[in-house]
Amino acid sequence: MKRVLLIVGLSLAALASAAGAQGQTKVIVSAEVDVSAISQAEVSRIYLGKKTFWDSGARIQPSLLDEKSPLTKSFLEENLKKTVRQFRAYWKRHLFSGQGTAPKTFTSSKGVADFVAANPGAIGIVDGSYSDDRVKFIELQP
Amino acid sequence: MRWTLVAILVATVMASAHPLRAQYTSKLTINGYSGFEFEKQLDEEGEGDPNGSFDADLFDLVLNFQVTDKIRVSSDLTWEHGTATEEDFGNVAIEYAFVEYAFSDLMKVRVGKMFIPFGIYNEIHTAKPAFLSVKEPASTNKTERIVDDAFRFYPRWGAGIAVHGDGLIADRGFSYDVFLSNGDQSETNPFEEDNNTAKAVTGRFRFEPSESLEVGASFYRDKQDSDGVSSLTSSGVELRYQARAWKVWAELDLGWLEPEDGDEILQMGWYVQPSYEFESGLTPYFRLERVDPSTDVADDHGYDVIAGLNYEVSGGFMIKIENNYYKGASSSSLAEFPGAGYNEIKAAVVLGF
Repeated sequence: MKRVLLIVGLSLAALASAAGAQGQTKVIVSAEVDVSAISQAEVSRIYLGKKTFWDSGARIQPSLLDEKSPLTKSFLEENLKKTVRQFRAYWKRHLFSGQGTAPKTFTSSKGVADFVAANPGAIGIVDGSYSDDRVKFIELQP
Repeated sequence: MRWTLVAILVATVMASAHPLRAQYTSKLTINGYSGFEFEKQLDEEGEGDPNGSFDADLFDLVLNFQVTDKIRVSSDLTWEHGTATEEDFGNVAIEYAFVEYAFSDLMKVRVGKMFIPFGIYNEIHTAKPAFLSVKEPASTNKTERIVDDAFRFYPRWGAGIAVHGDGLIADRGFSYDVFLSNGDQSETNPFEEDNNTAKAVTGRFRFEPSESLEVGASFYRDKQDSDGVSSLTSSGVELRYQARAWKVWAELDLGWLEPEDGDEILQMGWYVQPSYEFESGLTPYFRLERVDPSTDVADDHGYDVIAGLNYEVSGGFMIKIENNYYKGASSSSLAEFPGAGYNEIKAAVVLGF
């Protein structure tokens, strides 16, 4: 009986861990960006096109996984306080009124990292389990 | 020797072709939108479309070219109503085309033809995928659609110099726009030549007191000296509120028109638009609009009461249907119709890409 309880307990813990990891994202920037941490508020302003330059003067080029990704959904809801549809509606107004272009989207974390590695000033949102030596991982502060 | 030169030239062109293409594609962003509409007046008398017509409303290409980190060129090219120049049908136009130099987020200077940055809707009035309803609010953007003798609070476009900025005040976001343009008149092409030395001034300031609320104020002033108008001064306030699936947009505009002969006219227009967005993409909306073309004249005002449904089928693809109930007071232009009003159904299929 104890063995059964142990197996059930371990399975539940593994499931909970997997579920937690599913919603986790990491922020990456290109190697040239001289930043080690960024606040939620700053990330929000970057992904809404309101902050388009780093303090160094380099242009920020935001990127993330496309809107089908559950990671994008959770990233937008937690940091921008917007649903995917609200984010899309916001950018349609912003884009079509000439204010700027929407963040670039990719189907995989590697796609985001490829873009960030190739573009100085770029920032990206990737899966929490993704690792890549070509880009810099920075802390997302509340 | 000649063949050697040709070979060197060909090799040079081939070698440069790939980097040029790569640079072109990474700096140019192409987007756009298209819309198809249907309108039918339901009552026998009114100012709507009694026949029920399809309208190949528009196809727009929105191009952004990031020339350098600081310089961007942005344009919206439109083909409206199934443009056929041979038949003199429809309209081809530049909605906006400007060059932007960004000193910082707080100061982006733009030169060219641009939408007048006044209120919520003017800069997106052609971009139907950017809002819920079939048309932009007439009470603030096309006043004569509700009552005939109303004037517009400001022109749609201007050519000139603008400054846009985004920043923070006490950790709360704000944005501002200032636009110096030729102003409006029909004596010359206002995007090429002014008819007087006075420039039109537009200003707008928006502030976000909380994550769910944005408020703003706009101002427009033009000494026109043509078309029977000496000057036009307008001001407006706007509000956008979002709480979960509920959304409210509202705007109030006041306009002071000084005719070349006669007394100054004060006009007022406003709307309130609540909506609720379901998970499925279905959004019912309601909009109450009112225009009073002259506050000094009694009972000349009119309403547009809109009840509609917007369904976002998938990213950027929308179907919209709404009923517009136009109703006027006893001295308004709508009073000539039975019941001083009429109903009109409007529908649209739009796509933003």
